[in-house]
Parts: sequence; structure tokens; C-alpha cells
Amino acid sequence: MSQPIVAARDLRKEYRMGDTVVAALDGVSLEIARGEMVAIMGPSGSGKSTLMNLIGALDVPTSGSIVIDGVALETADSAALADLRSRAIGFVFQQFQLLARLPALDNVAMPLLYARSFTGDAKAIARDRLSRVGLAERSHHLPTELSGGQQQRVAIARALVNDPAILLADEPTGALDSRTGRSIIRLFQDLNAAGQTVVMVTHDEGVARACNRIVRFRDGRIVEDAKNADVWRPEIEEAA
Amino acid sequence: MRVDAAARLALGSLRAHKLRSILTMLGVIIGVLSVVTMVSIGEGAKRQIDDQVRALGSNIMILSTGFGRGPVRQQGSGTPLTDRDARAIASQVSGVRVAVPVRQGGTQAVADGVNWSTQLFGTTNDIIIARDWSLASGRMFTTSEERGGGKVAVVGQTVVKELFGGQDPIGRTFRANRIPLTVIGVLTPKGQNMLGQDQDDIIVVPLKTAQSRLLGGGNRAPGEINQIIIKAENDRVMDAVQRDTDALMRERQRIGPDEPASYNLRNLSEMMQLQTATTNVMTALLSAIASVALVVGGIGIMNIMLVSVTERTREIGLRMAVGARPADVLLQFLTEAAMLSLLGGLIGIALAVPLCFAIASFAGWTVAIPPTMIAVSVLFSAGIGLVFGFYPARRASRLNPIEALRYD
Ligand SMILES: Nc1ncnc2c1ncn2[C@@H]1O[C@H](COP(=O)(O)OP(=O)(O)O)[C@@H](O)[C@H]1O
Ligand SMILES: [Mg+2]
Repeated sequence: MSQPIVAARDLRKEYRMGDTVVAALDGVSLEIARGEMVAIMGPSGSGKSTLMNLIGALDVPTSGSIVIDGVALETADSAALADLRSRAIGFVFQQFQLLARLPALDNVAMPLLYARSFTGDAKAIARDRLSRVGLAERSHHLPTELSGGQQQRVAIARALVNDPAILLADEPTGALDSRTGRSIIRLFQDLNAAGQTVVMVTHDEGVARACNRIVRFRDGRIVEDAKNADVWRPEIEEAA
Repeated sequence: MRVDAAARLALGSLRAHKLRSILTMLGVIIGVLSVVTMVSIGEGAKRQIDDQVRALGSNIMILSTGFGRGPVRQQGSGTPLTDRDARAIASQVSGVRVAVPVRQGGTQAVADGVNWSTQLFGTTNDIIIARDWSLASGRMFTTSEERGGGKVAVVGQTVVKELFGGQDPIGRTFRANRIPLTVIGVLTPKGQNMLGQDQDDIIVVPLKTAQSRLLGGGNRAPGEINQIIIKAENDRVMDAVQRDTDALMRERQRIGPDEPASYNLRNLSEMMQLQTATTNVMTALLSAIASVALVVGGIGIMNIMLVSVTERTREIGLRMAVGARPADVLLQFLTEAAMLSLLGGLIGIALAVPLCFAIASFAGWTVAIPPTMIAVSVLFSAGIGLVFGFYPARRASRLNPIEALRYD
């Protein structure tokens, strides 16, 4: 087996609130291999988002080590972290985070603006990613002209535009109704089936069962980390 | 991120807030507009003075009869100047190239029933040297014409046009104050001086002719003249010539060294230099005031950029999350600020040019827009954006992406 994409060892992340120190992560060790589809679960405030921010190279740990796609975050500066995000990370947010001014195609192409080694046709790649999420017809629509599910698909297309080593999604279905959420989960499963590594945070047991590994958090620690043999493939009704 | 990509982003976000962008630019527009206009007016004034100096001839001093402080010449208040004074200055003051007596007055000239009122100069051939004139055709006066008050005249181009219909006037006769004069020469055109005076509207006759035939009469002393034009050898001896001429005239008119002189001795290029210096100071002052508008414009840009950074905190967080480095964010916002002020500067210049022409034609001022001024204001306005845009841009680039993404 090749090197894991995420290798975290004794991760600690503390936040200082006045004179009290909150340990959002309190000794987390975790490896994620290529091709996995991991669900991260746990009650609110248990440290899920904090871990996602570290895996996404948006933050550095207080102590411990974490290596993402070969880059150790503890020793990287902000430019190196940005380069790592540009090269290896795709983010999907609960609130979509699309730029309202830009049509879908430009939203999808936007990350390539910051990809230093990229020289190709950004629009063509963006078109390809939009068609992968089933929105080829909507490329000139503004976010406000799209439904919630469609907006999240655009956001997923954007996360895929740099061929990320790892696709991160923090409660990607949290802002969607359950039917639309199921179609988004199916999309993630399809991407994973094609080899894409996916890590997602969810509150929904059903969504978690759609993944092939479930990691449970409580108070900044991993309390359970298990393979899911019985993967649920949600049925999708017409239209998302 | 490449600069062209940053420029496209900046243009996009300026377009997204058109009214706000234009209002923000207004400060820079007004600033550049006023600086360019002020400098152009100042530059025009300098050129005007320059032209006047050139028109007067170089290294010139004018000695004229004093008229006291008031407009009316008081009886016995000044000893009249004569051509003997001119000869004395020419021969006794060292450094003087020529000292030319001038008897000057208005005249009515008539040729073939055409009337033309113009200026008459009674003087010597040296006037050509003193005023840096030259002859387009014909000749100046002969010695016998000068001594005997010959009825001959050298005329300027305007007189040729008005009195002789533009035809070659040499050898033709006209009357000035009823005295028939034969044209023997034509002066090279000088054009208008910047005060709008036509320097070609002139008739030059021998001094004696003016004194005895054309402008005589009244209670004039024999040989009386209006002024003596003194041309020094070079500009280094100007001060000495002025001092020595003053001393000589005091001696000739028996005026003590501390008494007020009855004549005026003015060093014209000195006056012009003073005027130029005054203009420079005025221009600098006005430009400084105008630059305040530029600075205010810059502060406006800074203000709106800070607002924009705050409004777009989530956008900045998102861009960072997908790979923008702090330097990319800095570049994006700096470009936006620079573009705002650069566009403002360009609009300001575009408005300044017609404004300068309008001022030139309505106020009758000379306005000269120096091309370097245009280049400097373009660079300067872009610079304003960079300077005042730096703080907001740096603030944007230092945002924490996680917090920025959560901002609402
Ligand atoms: N920027 C921050 N400053 C202070 N405390 C924080 C910050 N971010 C997270 N925390 C705290 O860390 C803990 C974990 O937060 P988080 O990772 O967001 O939990 P989850 O995503 O599982 O709900 C919580 O107690 C939260 O209050
Ligand atoms: Mg969370």
C-alpha cells in the first residue's frame, strides 16, 4: 500500500479563551489511505471541524504531527500551506460558499487562478467538472438562479477542479433537505468509486452509513474508528 | 496569481459596484484635474513671460522720464531726457553695446485713401540691435537721413498689410500726421507678444524726423525723447551697467546720491525673472493646495477598500481556502486600489485637457499642458492607490481563512 494521504499523530489543538484553555483536539492519531470514504461523527463541539481544518491545511496543530500528502503542517509557513491546499485539497462547505457575482463556471474555475503550476484552459476544466456533477447545462447561471442542491454540486465541482488528493466536506448535506442530501451523498459515492478519497463530517447516521469507514469523536478524542461493511447506497429520485 | 489575472479580478469587482467606484474615484479625479490645470496655467504664464523677454530683446534696460507717482507729469518734476543723454551713456558707461534714444507716439497714417492708426518710433538705426529686430527687405536710414530728418520710414508687417494691402511697399509714399514719408524698409514679422500687442504694427522713422516734423510741438525741450533703450554687452555686466548709468544720469541731472531720481531705470529681464519666480511660487502653492485634494482622494480609496475588505471577508477566506496565498490576496486588493486611482487619474486628465482649453479661450490666459505632467500624474495617481490601498490590502492578506469563512 502507498503512503497514507493523512497521517496524524498525537494531534493537539488548543484555543485560548481568556485564561482558560480549550483543547478542541486532545491527542488524535489517525491515518487515512487513498481511496477511502470516511465519515466523521460526534456531538457538536467535539472537534470535528477542527480536525477538518487541519486536514485541509487551513490551520496548524498546537502540538503533535500531521502530514498531508507528504507535507508536514507543523513546519510549513502560510504560503506553503496555501500551495498544499491549491495542489492537494478540495473543500466543500456546509454553506456552499459560492461567489454570488460569478456564474457557476467562473466559480468552479476560480481555484485554478491560484494554482501556480497550472497553465491549461481553466474554463475547459471547469466545464468538465460541472458535467461530472451533472450541471453542464447550468454553467452560465448565477448561484442565486440555482437550487440549494445545485449550488452544492457547483461547490463540489469547484472542489474537484484541481484534482485534489483529498476531498473534504464539513456537513455537506447540513443545509439541504433530505432528498437533495441523498443525491449529494450519491455524488460523493460515485466520485469515491472512481478513486477519489473523501472525508466528510456529518450528524446524520444515514449519511455516515454511506461511507466505508466511520470515525466517532467526543471531547476532542476519537472514541471509535471502524470500517463500515454494510455501505448504504441511497436511492435517488428524479431531479436534485 | 499573475498580474493580468489580478487586474481582471479588480476590474470585475469595480464593475460590480459601479456607483461606489465612481464616487471613490471622484476624489482622485478632482485632485488630478486641479493639479494638472494649476500646473498648466502656471506653465502657460511662464511661457508668456518668456516670450515677452524674448520680444524685448535680451540684456535690455529702459531709461525713461520719470512721471512722479501720479499719472500727471508735474511741472519741473523731471528733467527731460534727450538724445545727448543717450550718446553720453553709449560713450561713458562701459559694457553698453548700444544706447538708443526713442521718441514715441501715436500717429494716423494714410496711403491711397486708406487710414491706419499706429505707433510711431523716432529712433536711430541701433534700435535694430537693441530690440533684436531684423529687416525683411529694404534698408535702414542713411547718415544723412538721420542727420537731416529725412522723410523716410521702415514699417512693420501689419502696416504693410493694412496700409498697402500686403503689397511690397518699398518706394511707396504715405502720410503720417500729414507729412509724406517714403517706405525704405520692412521689418521681419515678430507676431503678437503674449499680452496680445501686435509688435508688427509700427512705423520707424529717424529720430530727428519724429522730433521736428511728426511728434514735435508743445512745450518740448529741444532734442527731447521719451526713453533710452540700453542694451548691455552681456548679462554679466547688466548690474554694473545699471549702476554706472544711474550714477551718470544723477551727475548729468545734478541729483544727489540720496535724492529720488527724476527718471526710471528698469532692468527688464530682471523684472521678468522676478515675475517668473513669482509665477513659480504661485504655481507651487496652487499645486500644493490641489495635491491636498489628491491626498483626500487617497484617503477615500483607503476608506472604501477597508469597507470592501470587511464586506468580502468570506470571499477572502474562500479564496485562501482554495489556495490563494497571502501575497495573492495582497496583490488582488492592491490592484483594485491602484486601478481605482489610476482610472480616476486618467479621467481627471481627460477632463483637465478640455478645461485648460476652456480657460485659455475664456480667460484669455496662456495655458500649456506639459506632456511630462501627464505622465507624472498618471504615475502619481496609480501611486496614490498603492500607498493608500496598502493598509487595507495587507489587512485582507492577514486574515485567518477559518475565521474569515465563518464571518457574516
Ligand atoms: N477559533 C476558536 N476559538 C476558540 N475556541 C474554538 C475555536 N474553534 C473551535 N473552538 C472550540 O473548540 C471546540 C471544538 O470545535 P469544533 O471543532 O468546531 O467542533 P465541531 O465541529 O465538532 O462542532 C469547541 O469547544 C469550540 O468551542
Ligand atoms: Mg463543526
